[in-house]
Amino acid sequence: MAKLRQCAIYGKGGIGKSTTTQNLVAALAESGKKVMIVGCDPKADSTRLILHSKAQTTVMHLAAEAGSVEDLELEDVLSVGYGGVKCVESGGPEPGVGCAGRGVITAINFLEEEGAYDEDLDFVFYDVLGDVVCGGFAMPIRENKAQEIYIVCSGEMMAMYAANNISKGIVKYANSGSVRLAGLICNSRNTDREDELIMALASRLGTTMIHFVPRDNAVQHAEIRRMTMVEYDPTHKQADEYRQLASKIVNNTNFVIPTPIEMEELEDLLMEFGIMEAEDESIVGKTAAELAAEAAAA
Amino acid sequence: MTTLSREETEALIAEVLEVYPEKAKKDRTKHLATNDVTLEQSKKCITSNRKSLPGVMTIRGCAYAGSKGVVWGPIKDMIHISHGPVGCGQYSRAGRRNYYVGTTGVDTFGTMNFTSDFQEKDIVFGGDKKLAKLIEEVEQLFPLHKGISVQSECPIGLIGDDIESVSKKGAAAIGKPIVPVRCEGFRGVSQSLGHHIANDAIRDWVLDKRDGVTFESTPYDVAIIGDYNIGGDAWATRIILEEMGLRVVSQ
Repeated sequence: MAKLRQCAIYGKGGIGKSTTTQNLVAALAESGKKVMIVGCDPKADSTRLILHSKAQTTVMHLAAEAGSVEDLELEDVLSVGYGGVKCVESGGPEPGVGCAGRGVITAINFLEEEGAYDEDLDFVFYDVLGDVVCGGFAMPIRENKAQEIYIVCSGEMMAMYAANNISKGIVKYANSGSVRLAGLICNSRNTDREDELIMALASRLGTTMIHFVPRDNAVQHAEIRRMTMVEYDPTHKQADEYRQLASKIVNNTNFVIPTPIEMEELEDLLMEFGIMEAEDESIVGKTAAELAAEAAAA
Repeated sequence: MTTLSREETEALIAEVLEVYPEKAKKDRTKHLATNDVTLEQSKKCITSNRKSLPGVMTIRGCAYAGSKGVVWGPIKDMIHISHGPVGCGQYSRAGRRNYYVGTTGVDTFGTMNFTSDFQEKDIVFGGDKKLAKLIEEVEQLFPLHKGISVQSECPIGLIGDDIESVSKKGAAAIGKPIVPVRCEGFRGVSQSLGHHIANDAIRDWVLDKRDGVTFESTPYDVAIIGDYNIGGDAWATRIILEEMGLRVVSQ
Protein backbone atom coordinates (compact mmCIF):
# COMPACT_ATOMS: atom_id res chain seq x y z
CA MET A 1 0.00 0.00 0.00
CA ALA A 2 1.39 3.39 -0.91
CA LYS A 3 2.33 5.74 1.91
CA LEU A 4 -0.24 8.23 3.14
CA ARG A 5 0.33 11.62 1.52
CA GLN A 6 -0.52 14.66 3.59
CA CYS A 7 -0.94 17.96 1.78
CA ALA A 8 -1.55 21.43 3.19
CA ILE A 9 -3.27 24.15 1.18
CA TYR A 10 -2.28 27.73 1.95
CA GLY A 11 -2.91 31.05 0.21
CA LYS A 12 -4.31 34.54 0.58
CA GLY A 13 -7.71 34.82 2.20
CA GLY A 14 -10.53 34.53 -0.31
CA ILE A 15 -8.28 33.24 -3.09
CA GLY A 16 -10.22 29.99 -3.44
CA LYS A 17 -8.41 27.46 -1.24
CA SER A 18 -11.50 25.74 0.14
CA THR A 19 -13.22 25.72 -3.24
CA THR A 20 -10.15 24.41 -5.04
CA THR A 21 -9.40 21.82 -2.36
CA GLN A 22 -12.89 20.39 -2.28
CA ASN A 23 -13.14 20.29 -6.05
CA LEU A 24 -9.83 18.53 -6.50
CA VAL A 25 -10.58 16.15 -3.65
CA ALA A 26 -13.89 15.24 -5.30
CA ALA A 27 -11.95 14.43 -8.47
CA LEU A 28 -9.51 12.30 -6.46
CA ALA A 29 -12.39 10.46 -4.83
CA GLU A 30 -14.00 9.92 -8.22
CA SER A 31 -10.80 8.22 -9.36
CA GLY A 32 -10.94 5.85 -6.42
CA LYS A 33 -8.63 7.53 -3.92
CA LYS A 34 -9.50 7.54 -0.22
CA VAL A 35 -9.22 11.09 1.06
CA MET A 36 -9.73 13.03 4.29
CA ILE A 37 -10.14 16.81 4.48
CA VAL A 38 -9.16 18.52 7.72
CA GLY A 39 -10.53 22.06 7.87
CA CYS A 40 -8.20 24.33 9.86
CA ASP A 41 -10.30 27.45 9.87
CA PRO A 42 -12.70 28.75 12.51
CA LYS A 43 -15.13 29.50 9.69
CA ALA A 44 -15.50 25.70 9.35
CA ASP A 45 -16.41 25.98 5.67
CA SER A 46 -13.80 23.62 4.26
CA THR A 47 -16.13 20.67 3.82
CA ARG A 48 -19.41 22.31 2.89
CA LEU A 49 -19.32 21.19 -0.72
CA ILE A 50 -18.52 17.59 0.17
CA LEU A 51 -21.08 17.26 2.94
CA HIS A 52 -23.71 19.43 1.23
CA SER A 53 -24.02 21.44 4.41
CA LYS A 54 -21.91 23.37 6.84
CA ALA A 55 -20.42 20.99 9.38
CA GLN A 56 -21.98 21.56 12.77
CA THR A 57 -19.87 19.06 14.61
CA THR A 58 -16.53 20.84 14.74
CA VAL A 59 -13.89 19.52 17.09
CA MET A 60 -13.65 22.64 19.23
CA HIS A 61 -17.40 23.19 19.38
CA LEU A 62 -18.00 19.67 20.63
CA ALA A 63 -15.05 19.80 22.98
CA ALA A 64 -16.40 22.96 24.54
CA GLU A 65 -19.78 21.29 25.06
CA ALA A 66 -18.35 18.07 26.42
CA GLY A 67 -15.97 19.85 28.77
CA SER A 68 -12.61 19.18 27.26
CA VAL A 69 -11.23 17.62 24.10
CA GLU A 70 -10.24 14.49 26.02
CA ASP A 71 -13.93 13.62 26.32
CA LEU A 72 -14.48 13.37 22.57
CA GLU A 73 -14.48 10.31 20.37
CA LEU A 74 -13.34 10.36 16.76
CA GLU A 75 -16.70 9.30 15.37
CA ASP A 76 -18.33 12.34 16.98
CA VAL A 77 -16.38 14.69 14.71
CA LEU A 78 -15.69 12.67 11.58
CA SER A 79 -18.35 12.90 8.85
CA VAL A 80 -18.33 11.19 5.47
CA GLY A 81 -19.49 12.95 2.32
CA TYR A 82 -19.44 12.66 -1.45
CA GLY A 83 -17.20 9.95 -2.76
CA GLY A 84 -16.53 8.58 0.70
CA VAL A 85 -14.42 11.63 1.55
CA LYS A 86 -13.92 11.90 5.32
CA CYS A 87 -14.41 15.38 6.72
CA VAL A 88 -13.29 16.98 9.96
CA GLU A 89 -13.47 20.64 10.91
CA SER A 90 -11.37 22.07 13.70
CA GLY A 91 -13.79 24.94 14.25
CA GLY A 92 -12.95 27.82 16.52
CA PRO A 93 -14.22 31.08 17.95
CA GLU A 94 -16.30 33.66 16.17
CA PRO A 95 -14.43 36.71 14.86
CA GLY A 96 -12.90 39.02 17.39
CA VAL A 97 -12.60 36.68 20.35
CA GLY A 98 -10.48 33.89 21.68
CA CYS A 99 -7.66 32.17 19.88
CA ALA A 100 -8.34 30.32 16.63
CA GLY A 101 -4.72 29.22 16.34
CA ARG A 102 -4.98 27.25 19.57
CA GLY A 103 -8.17 25.69 18.21
CA VAL A 104 -6.25 24.33 15.23
CA ILE A 105 -3.47 22.99 17.45
CA THR A 106 -5.88 21.21 19.76
CA ALA A 107 -7.95 19.76 16.92
CA ILE A 108 -4.97 18.37 15.04
CA ASN A 109 -3.45 16.88 18.19
CA PHE A 110 -6.79 15.27 18.91
CA LEU A 111 -6.91 13.68 15.44
CA GLU A 112 -3.39 12.38 15.84
CA GLU A 113 -4.08 10.85 19.21
CA GLU A 114 -7.35 9.28 18.14
CA GLY A 115 -5.61 7.59 15.23
CA ALA A 116 -7.53 9.37 12.49
CA TYR A 117 -4.51 8.90 10.25
CA ASP A 118 -4.13 5.20 10.83
CA GLU A 119 -7.15 4.50 8.71
CA ASP A 120 -6.94 3.23 5.21
CA LEU A 121 -6.29 6.63 3.59
CA ASP A 122 -4.40 7.73 0.48
CA PHE A 123 -4.52 11.48 1.03
CA VAL A 124 -5.14 14.00 3.78
CA PHE A 125 -5.69 17.63 2.82
CA TYR A 126 -5.37 20.41 5.39
CA ASP A 127 -7.29 23.48 4.30
CA VAL A 128 -5.72 26.32 6.31
CA LEU A 129 -7.21 29.78 6.69
CA GLY A 130 -5.72 32.61 4.68
CA ASP A 131 -3.59 34.59 7.05
CA VAL A 132 -1.01 32.53 8.90
CA VAL A 133 -0.77 35.02 11.71
CA CYS A 134 0.41 32.83 14.56
CA GLY A 135 2.17 29.57 15.27
CA GLY A 136 -1.09 27.70 15.52
CA PHE A 137 -1.85 27.94 11.80
CA ALA A 138 1.49 26.41 11.02
CA MET A 139 0.46 23.30 12.97
CA PRO A 140 -0.43 21.32 9.84
CA ILE A 141 3.12 21.62 8.54
CA ARG A 142 4.89 20.44 11.67
CA GLU A 143 6.61 17.08 11.90
CA ASN A 144 4.53 14.02 11.02
CA LYS A 145 1.78 16.03 9.39
CA ALA A 146 1.66 17.66 5.99
CA GLN A 147 4.73 16.99 3.87
CA GLU A 148 3.60 18.85 0.75
CA ILE A 149 2.35 22.40 0.60
CA TYR A 150 0.37 23.82 -2.31
CA ILE A 151 -0.13 27.58 -2.38
CA VAL A 152 -3.20 28.85 -4.18
CA CYS A 153 -2.71 32.26 -5.77
CA SER A 154 -3.76 34.45 -8.67
CA GLY A 155 -2.00 36.99 -10.87
CA GLU A 156 -2.75 39.87 -8.53
CA MET A 157 -0.01 41.56 -6.59
CA MET A 158 -1.33 40.92 -3.11
CA ALA A 159 -2.05 37.27 -3.79
CA MET A 160 1.50 36.82 -5.02
CA TYR A 161 2.86 38.77 -2.09
CA ALA A 162 0.98 36.44 0.22
CA ALA A 163 2.33 33.40 -1.61
CA ASN A 164 5.85 34.73 -1.16
CA ASN A 165 5.22 35.48 2.49
CA ILE A 166 3.89 32.02 3.16
CA SER A 167 7.01 30.61 1.50
CA LYS A 168 9.10 32.43 4.09
CA GLY A 169 7.18 30.63 6.80
CA ILE A 170 7.68 27.32 5.02
CA VAL A 171 11.46 27.77 4.89
CA LYS A 172 11.67 27.71 8.67
CA TYR A 173 9.79 24.42 8.95
CA ALA A 174 11.42 22.93 5.87
CA ASN A 175 14.85 23.45 7.40
CA SER A 176 14.03 21.64 10.60
CA GLY A 177 11.68 19.03 9.17
CA SER A 178 10.64 17.34 5.96
CA VAL A 179 7.84 19.62 4.77
CA ARG A 180 8.31 20.99 1.25
CA LEU A 181 6.67 23.36 -1.19
CA ALA A 182 5.00 21.23 -3.84
CA GLY A 183 3.73 23.88 -6.21
CA LEU A 184 1.57 26.91 -6.89
CA ILE A 185 -2.00 26.49 -8.04
CA CYS A 186 -3.17 29.48 -10.05
CA ASN A 187 -6.84 30.13 -9.43
CA SER A 188 -7.42 32.48 -12.33
CA ARG A 189 -8.80 35.96 -11.88
CA ASN A 190 -8.53 36.63 -15.61
CA THR A 191 -5.79 39.22 -15.15
CA ASP A 192 -3.28 39.95 -17.90
CA ARG A 193 -0.75 37.23 -18.74
CA GLU A 194 -1.66 35.55 -15.49
CA ASP A 195 -0.27 32.13 -16.34
CA GLU A 196 3.12 33.48 -17.39
CA LEU A 197 3.30 35.66 -14.30
CA ILE A 198 2.58 32.82 -11.91
CA MET A 199 4.96 30.51 -13.73
CA ALA A 200 7.66 33.14 -13.37
CA LEU A 201 6.90 33.60 -9.67
CA ALA A 202 6.94 29.85 -9.18
CA SER A 203 10.30 29.54 -10.81
CA ARG A 204 11.75 32.32 -8.64
CA LEU A 205 10.46 30.48 -5.59
CA GLY A 206 12.12 27.31 -6.80
CA THR A 207 8.94 25.46 -7.69
CA THR A 208 6.43 25.20 -10.54
CA MET A 209 2.89 26.27 -11.27
CA ILE A 210 1.32 22.86 -10.99
CA HIS A 211 -1.91 23.85 -12.69
CA PHE A 212 -3.77 26.86 -14.00
CA VAL A 213 -7.42 26.67 -13.05
CA PRO A 214 -9.48 28.88 -15.40
CA ARG A 215 -12.20 31.06 -14.01
CA ASP A 216 -15.64 29.70 -14.69
CA ASN A 217 -19.00 30.66 -13.23
CA ALA A 218 -20.07 27.03 -13.25
CA VAL A 219 -18.03 26.62 -10.08
CA GLN A 220 -20.19 29.21 -8.34
CA HIS A 221 -23.34 27.55 -9.65
CA ALA A 222 -22.21 24.32 -8.09
CA GLU A 223 -21.20 26.07 -4.88
CA ILE A 224 -24.62 27.64 -4.40
CA ARG A 225 -26.00 24.12 -4.53
CA ARG A 226 -23.29 23.09 -2.07
CA MET A 227 -21.60 20.77 -4.53
CA THR A 228 -18.32 20.35 -6.28
CA MET A 229 -18.09 20.50 -10.11
CA VAL A 230 -17.42 16.80 -10.37
CA GLU A 231 -20.66 16.03 -8.58
CA TYR A 232 -22.80 18.83 -10.01
CA ASP A 233 -21.87 18.52 -13.68
CA PRO A 234 -19.24 15.87 -14.33
CA THR A 235 -19.29 16.50 -18.08
CA HIS A 236 -18.44 20.20 -17.76
CA LYS A 237 -14.96 21.16 -18.91
CA GLN A 238 -14.29 22.82 -15.56
CA ALA A 239 -14.73 19.45 -13.89
CA ASP A 240 -11.98 18.19 -16.18
CA GLU A 241 -9.71 21.00 -15.01
CA TYR A 242 -10.03 19.75 -11.47
CA ARG A 243 -9.49 16.17 -12.61
CA GLN A 244 -6.28 17.33 -14.27
CA LEU A 245 -5.18 19.15 -11.14
CA ALA A 246 -5.91 16.05 -9.07
CA SER A 247 -3.95 13.85 -11.42
CA LYS A 248 -0.99 16.26 -11.43
CA ILE A 249 -0.93 16.22 -7.66
CA VAL A 250 -1.04 12.42 -7.61
CA ASN A 251 1.96 12.27 -9.90
CA ASN A 252 3.86 15.21 -8.42
CA THR A 253 7.39 14.50 -7.26
CA ASN A 254 8.72 18.04 -7.29
CA PHE A 255 9.11 19.01 -3.64
CA VAL A 256 11.46 21.86 -2.75
CA ILE A 257 12.57 24.17 0.01
CA PRO A 258 11.32 27.50 -1.37
CA THR A 259 13.53 30.51 -2.07
CA PRO A 260 11.36 33.52 -1.18
CA ILE A 261 12.14 36.82 -2.92
CA GLU A 262 12.36 40.43 -1.77
CA MET A 263 9.62 42.99 -2.40
CA GLU A 264 11.69 44.77 -5.09
CA GLU A 265 12.11 41.54 -6.99
CA LEU A 266 8.38 40.93 -6.79
CA GLU A 267 7.69 44.39 -8.16
CA ASP A 268 10.23 43.83 -10.94
CA LEU A 269 8.36 40.69 -11.88
CA LEU A 270 5.08 42.57 -12.08
CA MET A 271 6.67 45.24 -14.25
CA GLU A 272 8.25 42.65 -16.50
CA PHE A 273 4.82 41.31 -17.29
CA GLY A 274 3.40 44.76 -17.84
CA ILE A 275 1.20 44.77 -14.76
CA MET A 276 2.95 47.78 -13.38
CA GLU A 277 4.23 50.79 -15.34
CA ALA A 278 7.95 50.96 -16.00
CA GLU A 279 10.04 51.81 -13.01
CA ASP A 280 9.74 55.51 -12.43
CA GLU A 281 10.10 56.70 -8.87
CA SER A 282 8.51 59.99 -9.85
CA ILE A 283 5.09 58.43 -10.31
CA VAL A 284 5.01 57.16 -6.71
CA GLY A 285 2.81 59.30 -4.48
CA LYS A 286 1.36 61.47 -7.21
CA THR A 287 -2.41 61.63 -7.40
CA ALA A 288 -4.31 61.43 -10.70
CA ALA A 289 -5.09 65.17 -10.53
CA GLU A 290 -1.42 66.04 -10.16
CA LEU A 291 -0.50 63.81 -13.08
CA ALA A 292 -3.20 65.36 -15.24
CA ALA A 293 -1.99 68.87 -14.30
CA GLU A 294 1.57 67.90 -15.21
CA ALA A 295 0.45 66.45 -18.52
CA ALA A 296 -1.53 69.61 -19.30
CA ALA A 297 1.46 71.77 -18.44
CA ALA A 298 3.80 69.72 -20.65
CA MET B 1 -15.14 -5.69 55.10
CA THR B 2 -17.78 -8.05 53.76
CA THR B 3 -18.70 -7.79 50.11
CA LEU B 4 -22.10 -6.29 49.40
CA SER B 5 -24.60 -7.75 47.00
CA ARG B 6 -25.82 -5.65 44.06
CA GLU B 7 -29.08 -4.75 45.84
CA GLU B 8 -27.26 -3.80 49.01
CA THR B 9 -24.91 -1.53 47.05
CA GLU B 10 -27.74 0.15 45.23
CA ALA B 11 -29.61 0.67 48.46
CA LEU B 12 -26.51 2.20 50.01
CA ILE B 13 -26.11 4.60 47.09
CA ALA B 14 -29.78 5.60 47.30
CA GLU B 15 -29.40 6.27 51.02
CA VAL B 16 -26.39 8.50 50.43
CA LEU B 17 -28.14 10.45 47.67
CA GLU B 18 -31.32 11.00 49.62
CA VAL B 19 -29.96 13.77 51.78
CA TYR B 20 -28.92 15.93 48.83
CA PRO B 21 -31.07 18.74 47.42
CA GLU B 22 -32.61 17.99 44.03
CA LYS B 23 -30.01 19.56 41.76
CA ALA B 24 -27.03 18.21 43.66
CA LYS B 25 -28.62 14.77 43.73
CA LYS B 26 -29.04 14.76 39.94
CA ASP B 27 -25.43 15.72 39.53
CA ARG B 28 -24.06 13.30 42.10
CA THR B 29 -25.99 10.29 40.76
CA LYS B 30 -23.76 10.15 37.69
CA HIS B 31 -20.69 9.71 39.87
CA LEU B 32 -21.93 6.84 42.03
CA ALA B 33 -22.55 3.47 40.41
CA THR B 34 -22.53 -0.23 41.13
CA ASN B 35 -19.94 -2.32 39.41
CA ASP B 36 -21.19 -3.99 36.25
CA VAL B 37 -18.74 -6.49 34.76
CA THR B 38 -20.69 -6.75 31.52
CA LEU B 39 -19.94 -3.17 30.54
CA GLU B 40 -17.02 -2.76 28.15
CA GLN B 41 -16.52 0.99 28.10
CA SER B 42 -15.63 2.58 31.39
CA LYS B 43 -17.42 5.78 30.52
CA LYS B 44 -20.73 3.90 30.28
CA CYS B 45 -20.28 2.71 33.85
CA ILE B 46 -19.52 5.92 35.66
CA THR B 47 -18.82 9.57 34.94
CA SER B 48 -15.42 10.74 36.07
CA ASN B 49 -12.58 13.12 35.17
CA ARG B 50 -14.85 16.15 35.36
CA LYS B 51 -14.28 19.64 36.60
CA SER B 52 -15.11 19.69 40.31
CA LEU B 53 -17.64 22.14 41.70
CA PRO B 54 -16.10 24.70 44.03
CA GLY B 55 -16.66 23.77 47.64
CA VAL B 56 -14.76 22.05 50.37
CA MET B 57 -12.55 19.90 48.14
CA THR B 58 -11.78 21.72 44.96
CA ILE B 59 -9.25 22.46 42.26
CA ARG B 60 -5.90 23.75 43.37
CA GLY B 61 -3.55 22.84 40.53
CA CYS B 62 -3.27 22.94 36.76
CA ALA B 63 -1.65 20.65 34.22
CA TYR B 64 1.66 22.48 34.59
CA ALA B 65 1.57 21.79 38.32
CA GLY B 66 0.89 18.12 37.66
CA SER B 67 3.71 17.84 35.20
CA LYS B 68 6.46 20.09 36.54
CA GLY B 69 5.52 19.92 40.20
CA VAL B 70 4.65 16.28 40.62
CA VAL B 71 6.17 14.16 37.87
CA TRP B 72 9.23 15.85 36.42
CA GLY B 73 10.29 18.22 39.21
CA PRO B 74 11.42 15.45 41.59
CA ILE B 75 13.88 14.12 38.99
CA LYS B 76 16.85 15.68 40.68
CA ASP B 77 19.62 15.43 38.10
CA MET B 78 17.68 16.90 35.20
CA ILE B 79 17.05 20.58 34.67
CA HIS B 80 13.38 21.49 34.27
CA ILE B 81 12.75 24.72 32.41
CA SER B 82 9.50 26.51 33.20
CA HIS B 83 8.99 27.84 29.71
CA GLY B 84 6.91 31.01 29.75
CA PRO B 85 6.54 34.01 32.04
CA VAL B 86 8.35 33.88 35.33
CA GLY B 87 5.46 33.48 37.81
CA CYS B 88 4.70 29.76 37.37
CA GLY B 89 8.26 28.76 38.02
CA GLN B 90 8.85 31.18 40.84
CA TYR B 91 5.71 30.38 42.83
CA SER B 92 6.16 26.65 42.42
CA ARG B 93 9.78 26.76 43.42
CA ALA B 94 10.75 24.17 46.02
CA GLY B 95 7.21 24.03 47.35
CA ARG B 96 6.90 20.29 47.32
CA ARG B 97 9.54 18.97 49.71
CA ASN B 98 10.78 16.30 47.34
CA TYR B 99 13.99 15.80 49.31
CA TYR B 100 17.05 14.45 47.56
CA VAL B 101 20.69 13.70 48.11
CA GLY B 102 23.22 15.69 46.09
CA THR B 103 24.96 19.03 45.72
CA THR B 104 22.40 21.52 44.54
CA GLY B 105 23.62 23.61 41.65
CA VAL B 106 26.32 21.14 40.76
CA ASP B 107 24.91 17.70 40.10
CA THR B 108 21.36 18.09 41.37
CA PHE B 109 18.93 20.93 40.75
CA GLY B 110 15.66 20.17 42.56
CA THR B 111 15.20 23.36 44.54
CA MET B 112 16.27 25.65 41.73
CA ASN B 113 13.97 27.55 39.38
CA PHE B 114 14.88 27.58 35.67
CA THR B 115 12.67 29.88 33.67
CA SER B 116 12.66 31.44 30.23
CA ASP B 117 11.08 34.60 31.69
CA PHE B 118 8.81 35.37 28.73
CA GLN B 119 8.42 39.02 27.85
CA GLU B 120 5.95 40.68 25.51
CA LYS B 121 8.23 40.38 22.52
CA ASP B 122 8.54 36.64 23.05
CA ILE B 123 4.79 36.34 22.95
CA VAL B 124 4.52 38.37 19.78
CA PHE B 125 7.52 37.01 17.89
CA GLY B 126 7.65 33.53 19.37
CA GLY B 127 9.98 32.11 22.01
CA ASP B 128 11.78 29.35 20.09
CA LYS B 129 15.02 31.31 19.67
CA LYS B 130 15.06 32.13 23.37
CA LEU B 131 14.58 28.48 24.24
CA ALA B 132 17.45 27.45 22.01
CA LYS B 133 19.73 30.00 23.66
CA LEU B 134 18.57 28.89 27.09
CA ILE B 135 19.53 25.31 26.32
CA GLU B 136 23.00 26.40 25.30
CA GLU B 137 23.43 28.43 28.49
CA VAL B 138 22.20 25.58 30.68
CA GLU B 139 24.70 23.23 29.09
CA GLN B 140 27.50 25.73 29.65
CA LEU B 141 26.71 26.70 33.23
CA PHE B 142 25.60 23.31 34.56
CA PRO B 143 27.59 20.70 32.67
CA LEU B 144 26.78 17.87 35.07
CA HIS B 145 23.07 17.83 34.29
CA LYS B 146 21.78 14.57 32.81
CA GLY B 147 19.08 16.11 30.61
CA ILE B 148 16.56 18.90 30.23
CA SER B 149 12.78 18.99 30.26
CA VAL B 150 10.81 21.89 28.80
CA GLN B 151 7.66 22.41 30.87
CA SER B 152 5.25 24.47 28.77
CA GLU B 153 3.34 27.21 30.50
CA CYS B 154 0.07 28.56 29.12
CA PRO B 155 1.35 31.04 26.50
CA ILE B 156 3.42 28.38 24.72
CA GLY B 157 0.30 26.54 23.67
CA LEU B 158 -1.47 29.71 22.61
CA ILE B 159 1.17 31.12 20.34
CA GLY B 160 1.98 27.72 18.93
CA ASP B 161 5.71 27.62 19.63
CA ASP B 162 7.46 24.61 18.15
CA ILE B 163 9.30 23.38 21.24
CA GLU B 164 9.51 19.85 19.82
CA SER B 165 11.82 20.85 17.02
CA VAL B 166 13.95 23.08 19.27
CA SER B 167 14.28 20.16 21.69
CA LYS B 168 15.28 17.72 18.97
CA LYS B 169 17.91 20.09 17.61
CA GLY B 170 19.23 20.91 21.07
CA ALA B 171 19.42 17.27 22.09
CA ALA B 172 21.44 16.46 19.00
CA ALA B 173 23.76 19.35 19.77
CA ILE B 174 24.44 18.60 23.43
CA GLY B 175 24.09 14.83 23.31
CA LYS B 176 21.67 14.62 26.25
CA PRO B 177 17.89 14.10 26.21
CA ILE B 178 15.73 17.21 25.98
CA VAL B 179 12.08 16.39 26.57
CA PRO B 180 9.37 18.84 25.46
CA VAL B 181 6.29 18.56 27.69
CA ARG B 182 3.02 20.13 26.52
CA CYS B 183 1.63 20.69 29.98
CA GLU B 184 -0.02 24.08 29.44
CA GLY B 185 -2.08 25.00 32.47
CA PHE B 186 -5.39 25.32 30.65
CA ARG B 187 -5.37 21.73 29.44
CA GLY B 188 -7.63 19.19 31.06
CA VAL B 189 -9.92 19.56 34.04
CA SER B 190 -7.33 19.37 36.81
CA GLN B 191 -3.77 18.57 37.74
CA SER B 192 -4.31 14.99 36.67
CA LEU B 193 -3.96 15.64 32.96
CA GLY B 194 -0.56 17.07 33.81
CA HIS B 195 0.46 13.70 35.24
CA HIS B 196 -0.88 12.01 32.12
CA ILE B 197 0.94 14.34 29.74
CA ALA B 198 4.17 14.11 31.71
CA ASN B 199 4.12 10.33 31.64
CA ASP B 200 3.27 10.29 27.95
CA ALA B 201 6.32 12.48 27.37
CA ILE B 202 8.46 9.89 29.15
CA ARG B 203 6.96 7.19 26.94
CA ASP B 204 7.55 9.18 23.76
CA TRP B 205 10.90 10.84 24.43
CA VAL B 206 12.78 8.79 27.00
CA LEU B 207 11.87 5.12 26.61
CA ASP B 208 13.65 4.73 23.31
CA LYS B 209 16.90 5.92 24.88
CA ARG B 210 17.53 2.78 26.93
CA ASP B 211 21.21 2.09 27.05
CA GLY B 212 20.73 -1.54 26.01
CA VAL B 213 22.45 -2.93 29.09
CA THR B 214 20.65 -6.15 30.03
CA PHE B 215 19.33 -6.19 33.53
CA GLU B 216 20.30 -9.17 35.68
CA SER B 217 17.54 -9.86 38.14
CA THR B 218 17.70 -11.92 41.33
CA PRO B 219 14.92 -13.51 43.42
CA TYR B 220 15.45 -10.83 46.06
CA ASP B 221 14.68 -7.77 43.90
CA VAL B 222 12.10 -5.23 44.97
CA ALA B 223 10.86 -2.27 42.94
CA ILE B 224 9.14 0.40 45.01
CA ILE B 225 6.43 1.86 42.79
CA GLY B 226 4.21 4.80 43.58
CA ASP B 227 6.47 6.53 46.05
CA TYR B 228 4.85 9.91 46.53
CA ASN B 229 8.31 11.37 46.98
CA ILE B 230 7.41 13.94 49.60
CA GLY B 231 9.88 14.51 52.37
CA GLY B 232 12.02 11.53 51.45
CA ASP B 233 9.46 8.95 52.52
CA ALA B 234 10.84 6.13 50.40
CA TRP B 235 14.20 6.34 52.14
CA ALA B 236 12.80 4.81 55.31
CA THR B 237 11.16 2.02 53.32
CA ARG B 238 14.32 1.33 51.39
CA ILE B 239 16.46 1.09 54.53
CA ILE B 240 14.11 -1.43 56.10
CA LEU B 241 13.96 -3.56 52.95
CA GLU B 242 17.72 -3.52 52.54
CA GLU B 243 18.32 -4.45 56.14
CA MET B 244 16.04 -7.41 55.50
CA GLY B 245 18.45 -8.49 52.82
CA LEU B 246 16.39 -7.55 49.78
CA ARG B 247 17.75 -5.61 46.81
CA VAL B 248 15.81 -2.47 45.99
CA VAL B 249 16.23 -1.99 42.25
CA SER B 250 14.11 1.12 41.82
CA GLN B 251 12.10 3.59 43.81
